[in-house]
Parts: sequence; structure tokens; C-alpha cells
Amino acid sequence: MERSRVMVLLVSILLPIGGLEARLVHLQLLTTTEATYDLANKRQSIEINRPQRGSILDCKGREIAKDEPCFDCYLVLEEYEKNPGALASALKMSPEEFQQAVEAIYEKIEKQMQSRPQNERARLYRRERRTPYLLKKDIKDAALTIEVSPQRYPGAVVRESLMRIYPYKQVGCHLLGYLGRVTANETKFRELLQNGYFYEGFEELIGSDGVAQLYRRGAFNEEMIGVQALEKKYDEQLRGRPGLMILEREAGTSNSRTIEIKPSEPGQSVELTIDIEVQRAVEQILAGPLHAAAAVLDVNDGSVVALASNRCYDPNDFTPPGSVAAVRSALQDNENKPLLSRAFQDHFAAGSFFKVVTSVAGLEGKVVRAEEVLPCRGKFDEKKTHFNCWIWNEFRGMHNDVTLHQALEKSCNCYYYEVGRRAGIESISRWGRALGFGSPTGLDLPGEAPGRIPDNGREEDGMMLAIGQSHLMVTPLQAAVMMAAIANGGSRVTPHLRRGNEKPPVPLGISADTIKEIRKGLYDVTHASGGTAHNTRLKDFKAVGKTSSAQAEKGKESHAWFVGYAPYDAPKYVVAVFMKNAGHGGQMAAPPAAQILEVLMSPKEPRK
Amino acid sequence: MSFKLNKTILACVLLLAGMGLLSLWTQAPLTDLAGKPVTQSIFLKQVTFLGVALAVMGLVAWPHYLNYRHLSWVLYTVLLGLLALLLVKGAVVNGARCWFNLGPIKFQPAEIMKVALVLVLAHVLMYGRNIQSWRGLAAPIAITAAPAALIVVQPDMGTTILLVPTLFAMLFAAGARKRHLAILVLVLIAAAPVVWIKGMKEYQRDRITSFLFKPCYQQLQSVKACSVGAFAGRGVGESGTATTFHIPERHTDFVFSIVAEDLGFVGSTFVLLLLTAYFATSLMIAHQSREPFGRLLAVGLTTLFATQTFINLGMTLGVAPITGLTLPFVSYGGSSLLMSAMSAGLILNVAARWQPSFSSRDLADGSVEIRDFNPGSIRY
Repeated sequence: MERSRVMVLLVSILLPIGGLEARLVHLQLLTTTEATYDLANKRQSIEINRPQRGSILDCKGREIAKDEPCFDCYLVLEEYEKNPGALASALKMSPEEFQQAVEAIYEKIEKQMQSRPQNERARLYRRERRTPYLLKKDIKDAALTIEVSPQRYPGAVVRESLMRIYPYKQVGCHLLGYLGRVTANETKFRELLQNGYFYEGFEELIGSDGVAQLYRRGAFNEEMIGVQALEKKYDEQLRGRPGLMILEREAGTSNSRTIEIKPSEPGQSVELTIDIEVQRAVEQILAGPLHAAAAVLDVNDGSVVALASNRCYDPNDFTPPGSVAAVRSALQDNENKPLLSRAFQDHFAAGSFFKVVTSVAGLEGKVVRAEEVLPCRGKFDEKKTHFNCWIWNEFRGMHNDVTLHQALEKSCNCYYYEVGRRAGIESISRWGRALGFGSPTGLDLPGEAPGRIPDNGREEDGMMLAIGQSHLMVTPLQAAVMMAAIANGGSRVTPHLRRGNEKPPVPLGISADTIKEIRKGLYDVTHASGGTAHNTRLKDFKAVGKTSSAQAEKGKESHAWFVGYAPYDAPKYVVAVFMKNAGHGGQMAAPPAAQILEVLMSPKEPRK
Repeated sequence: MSFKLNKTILACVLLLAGMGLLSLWTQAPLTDLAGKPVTQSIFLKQVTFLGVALAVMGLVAWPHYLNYRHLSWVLYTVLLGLLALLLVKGAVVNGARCWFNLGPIKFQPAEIMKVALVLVLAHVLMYGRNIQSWRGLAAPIAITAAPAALIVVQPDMGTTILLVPTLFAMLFAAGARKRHLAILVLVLIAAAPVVWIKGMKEYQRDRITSFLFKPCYQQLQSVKACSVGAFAGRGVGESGTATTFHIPERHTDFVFSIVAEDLGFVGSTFVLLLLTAYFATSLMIAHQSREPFGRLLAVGLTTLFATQTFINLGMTLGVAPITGLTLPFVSYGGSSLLMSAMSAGLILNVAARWQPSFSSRDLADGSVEIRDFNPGSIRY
């Protein structure tokens, strides 16, 4: 009995086989027309669906970097060469330019072929000539021309795409950065793929052969990533996740259809603490023949309101397709180095505003009392010929007897030589580091310069450090961080650009008396008749601070600095202005600082 | 007793594997990023797999299959343990824990479990103990349910589905009552809604609903690719040049679409005939075997691989949902090939040992002559 049952099983296995054979007959013999038509006329290609990159917003929600829709033109070589139309003129390209673009596509195909074994090349060549390759990005009106009469432009495929736009052009360029194409080498790419970093789930959807095809076609090289500044720093949030689709076109027509396999996920936007209008105003104030930089921070949480350097570039030129000529001239401009932000990526001699640090070291180290009177005879010591007060160098004058706040007001060197001698280089350096010098401030941008501060040395080095000379090098941003600590009552803030990135200020343990005495000195700088910056409009904005005229290179003017905060009764903003080789801080740096404060305090621009 | 090789089975296996290699040759190149001459490497990999698989087939066919009875229990128990371990430690691929990652080799216990289960079931059912009663059905059902439960939670729906018809065919061949089997089928149908709601992951439900209402793109492409093959096909290798139908990882699950596109109706019917010949021959071997373990083994293995074939071809031709089951012998992939070859080896083994069936009358009229038959030579 059991054996006869095996025959029943045999029949039950033959039945589905019969069914499958019937299906084959149906598919391959009876209904082949549609598929055959598709085969002859339709071309499918896997395409990456690029995600919309997140916007960068300023503190008032204005978009300072955004993705805008644009039209790209792709070319299918086979169709184009069979019947070349007037595509070049439609795209407003010169014949040479057009030829170059076509050659570039051929190069891409050649490159793919070289990496494949001989026997496959002919086949690959045929297939790739039927695949649309990017010819020109952002073709503007030409898109309509082509779409209206596709038969006049065989092989041209118009596709919607996105382009990064920086509406404020060069304003804040050093903060925003720009995009570039990924040129991940193969190992790196595999690694990224494996970690699902770029393309999670791609392999499951289109197979490793599909991914390989995209890779070899260079599709992943069209991928944009942030290569500088904020675009780089927050690339992961901004970028989003690309999707996948199959683009199906009917040759010779504009009929096309996309099969979305995986939708793209748009990137998140990043909100900044800067106010782009203030940034713009600050950049305009700094504009001029001299290299200059400025940093404006909130004294309490360190959020950056403006961070400007007056040699800029336009990120629109740098983001592909961009402008090759503009990029080249920017890169070759060794005089101005527009890619470098002098506000935080370069350091300079500090000069007198460092006396604030020396004051902290002196008072906290109890080597000097605030009311203690020290003599200034123009020259500190007959033996030490280089240790002169500035008033001696310029006018053969002297400050006579000065207390701490008078020394700050008049920027007396002799007073601070003595304090420096008493406190010692280690103590000053320690306070200098605590207040943010000698290491990056922690700003959320790549490439911050650490500056330099000597940690030990001879007595003379300590005395020089006390007046901000010696080997001390600082960035304008560091200067602002230091002054913020005085303004907010002794806490070091971490400057940041992204809203919500606040790190709690670190209390430095400076006594309230110390702060009070220093503030008194800073008040006199702008308000007392002997103050180095009393002759400016700074007092109109209740600003206090310290000037610097730092000796830099022989034969050139000194660097002019003003570092201060306002208003003195309820500190809100700290401003650091730096003018390279400009001369006196009081004359050159304090007026722009006043202008910046005017913008900040101006009732026309009410700030939240 | 000499080893009698069943040439039909061997020929089918070799021809099917040959078709697989041919299809791979036309597609394989496109699997590497590196620009190395991968055609060779992935193709050679499969050739190596085939060599190993044929060796395994020979090894499995060599010792008398009855020796596998007790060994199968060890294998079954170990695999059950591995399946349980997999849920904790397995590598997650596409949200499923199906694999152990052993360096370069990815090891999928469920694949081997399929064959181990058939061996164990054949052993349990060979004596037909209580097979006519519910009590006798309990053991085989429990033996199947344990791995099925572990595989379904991985989740690997495809493999689980294979186990059910295999169990039924073996129960049927062992002599279970039709009434009992019918009731079991009804119970399964009644349980389906519960499984649908509780047992399935979102993506599995999606796959089935998308098959019913909105076929996914791979399948649409595959159906069209099969269709363009028409009568004589587009020619060997043509499927690789088409820019019309992209099917991911075509040489694995959708390998039949390559045959159908390149070789057309003629080629696909040829492959279908080879498969039919293979299954029919192995059932005939079951039919002729008088020894119940061998018979049940052949029935179980045939049902298992036939079901897998139907689901795979159904998927390729757009009449069944996507399950990720390979086409035995043809699809690219080491473990698939290895397990197919192993089952072929077992069937060859059964075929080689089938006992001559004759009556006393045959002996009397001299049409059968007993020469050196020694019953003691068979060690059960």
C-alpha cells in the first residue's frame, strides 16, 4: 500500500511542473510582444536618488545655505551620436566646451573598461553607451527647450536635481565652508558601504552587482559632502540618506518613468547662533586694505554672534560645478589667503590686552595689591635696555606712579614688568591657559589654530609675557573667550556656532575682588581721559575693554587690537577686533569695535 | 553487493549544474568593485563549490545509507542547538539572524537542518509504529515543529514553508490515514490568520501583500526578462548586455530568468525537464525500494527539493511571492549547491542498494538466480 502512495506523490509533483510549463508557454510564446517592445525601446538604469541636504539657518531662521532644485542635462552617447542635434547651442556651450564634456564621458567609460577583463569590454562599452551620463549641471532655461522638443536633441535627458546655494555669497564663508565631490577610494568606499554609512540597504535592493555598476560608473563620485567648516563638521546631520530608483526611458522620446526602490531621506537642518546680518555688517566694517578679523560672542554661554575675517571667498564658486577660475585665483592668492579665517585659524602677537591675564595672575597670586602703587620711569631698569614703557619709546615720557587700574587704563608696561617679575612666567602662563590661550577654544569648526603660550623660561621671558609679547600667539577668538570670562564673572565659555551646542561655562575660581578691580581698569580705558581708547564712541555703547598695539615684524606697524565687552553694567557681548599691522589699538581697532557694537545695539535690528 | 549507479540522477545533476555554470558565466562579472578580473574568480569559486559538492555526493553515496540512521540524530540535535544559539549570536543580515559568520565562510544551519530532518523523520517513520493513530503522528510532528519554530523566528519563512509539505509527504508515504492528514491540513489553514498577525514580521507581510496587489520591481523585471526570451532565446550572454531589465543578484535566486532570457522557451523547458526527470527518478527509486527507511528518505528529499524548486520557479515566473529560496543545483551559492548534492548522494545511495524484489515463482522458473547473496553482508 505504501508503495502505491509513492505514485500518488509522483503525480502530485508532476502537476505543479505542468503548471509552470503552462506559465512558460504563456510568457514566452503567447505574450511576448510587450516585453519585446520594452527590450527594443526602453532603457533602464539604476540611479541614486539624492537627498535634499539640510539647510543651515542663522539665529533668526534665515537660510544661509540651502539646496535648491535645478535641472541637469544627461547624455546618452549612442542616441546622440546616431543623430547629433543642436544640443551644444541649446545648452549655451561652445563647441569646444561641449566636446570636452563628451570626452569626459568617454573617459569615464574607458576607465571602467580598463578595469574589466578583455572579453567583457565590448559588451560593457555597448551597455554604457546606452546609459545616461551627466553632461552639464544646472542648465536653467535649456531644460525647457529640450523638454519641449526632445526629438531635436536626441540623447539628451533632463533630470531634476538639487544644487547647493549660499544666498549670502561670501558672508560667513569661513563658517559655512562648501561642498566637494566624494573621492573615496575603493577601500574607504567599501568600508562605508559595509557600515551602511552612505547606502544602508543598497546591496539588498539592487544587488552587489547593481552597487558595483553604480560605483564603476562614478555615480558615488557625484556624491557631495561638506569639505570645509560647518558643512564638514555637521555633514552627517546635513547630508541625509540617498535613495534608489530605476529610471526607465523610451529612446527618442521624453517619455520616462522612475521606479522608486527606496525613497531618499532629506538631511536635517542645522541652526546657528550667528546672525547673518550682523555677520555681514561686521565684514563690511572690517573691509579695507588691511587684514582684519573680529569675534563677537555672547559673554554668558559663548555662542558666536559673528566671527569674521575680511578676506573672503564665495562658497558658490567652490561648490561643484562652481567656477574653476575663481577657485584657482583664490587658492593662488598667497597675499590674502582668502580660505583662511584670521578670526580662528591663524594666530598673532597679542600685546597689551594680555595684561588682563597678568592682572589676574598678580592679584590671584597675591603678589600685588590692586591699590599698590608701582613706579613707571619710562625705562624699567637701566640694565634691561629692552624693557621700556611705550610712552618712553614714543614720547620719552613716563607714567609716574600707577595702581593696577591706572596701569590698565594707560597700558603701562613698567607696572606689568614688575608684576610679571613677581608672579613669574609659570603663574602667568597657567592663568593664560586657564583663560583659553595656548589651545583651541573648542569652537565647533575644524582647523582651529591653538595659538602658543610659553610655559616657562627666564625671568625676562616672564616679564615680556606679562605685557603680551614674548612667544605668545593668540587668535582673535581666544582673545574674546578671555574677555568673556572677565565679563561674566570668571567663567571660561566654549564658543560654539550651532544652537544647542552650549557647554556649561567653567568657573575658574577668580575672586570677585579681582574681577572688580580689573573691570575698573577696563572701564577707565574707554571712559577716563587718560584711557587708551577714551577718544572713541565706545563709551556711547557702555563698552569697556583693553587695547593692544602688539609689536610684530620689524619695520612694520604693530598689530592693533581691541578686546572688550558691553554693556559694562550687564555684560552681553564680548567683541575682539584685530587689525594686522595697523598701528595703535586705540586708534585703529577701537573705532571698528564701536561700529560693531552700534550694529549689535542698534534699535533697527532688534535682537531676540 | 556491488554499487549500482543510477545514471539518470547523475546525468540530471551534472546537466543542471552545467546550466548553472553557463548562466553564471554570462552574469558573474558584475559582482566586484575592485576591477579585478572577477569573471574568473566568482566563476572559479562556483566551479570549486561544484567540485566539492560532487565529492560530497560521492562520499555520502558510499557507505550504506542505513548507517546514517543513528548519525542523523546526532546531527539533528547539534543543529537544533545551533539554531537556538543563532537567535542569540547570529550575524544579522537584513534584519534576520540566519547566518553564523565563520571568517570567510557563512554558515546557515537551517540549510543542513532540512536534510537532517528528513533523515530523522525517515528513521522515526520507518517502522510505521502507531502511524494510523494520532499518537503515532505526534512524534514526527513534534520533531518537525521544533526546528520549524526556531527557523521561523529567525525569520526565514521560505525554509519553514518547505518543511510542511515534506512532513506531509513522508507521513503519507509511511501510511498515515488520509483522514488524519486532511484534519492536519485544516488545522494549518485555520492557524494561518494567527501566524499572519502574530508570527510574521512587517516586511514578510509586505512581501505577500505586494505579491498579491503590487508586485515588487525585481519580480516584474524577472517576468519580463523571461518573456523576452520567446521561443529560442536571445542568445547566450545577451541577458548581460540588456539595459532594460535590471534584476539584482540575478545569478542567485533569479537564475532561471537568465536561462529563460538567453535560451528562451527551449532552454527553460529543457531545465524544467531535467528537474522533472530528477524528481521522477528519485520517486521511482522510492517506489522500487522495499526497505522503508530508504523509501521514506527518497520521498522526503524529493518533496523537499521539489517544493523548493516550485517556489523558486514560481517566484521567477511571477506566480509565487519572493522567498529567497534558491533553485537546486542551478543557483549560485556554495551551501545551496552542497545541500542539493548531498541529497542527490543520499538518493543515489538508496538507488544503489535497492533490494531485488522477487517471488518464489520467479525463483522456480529460473528467471531469477541467486548467486552470491549473503543476507549477513548487510549490516542494518
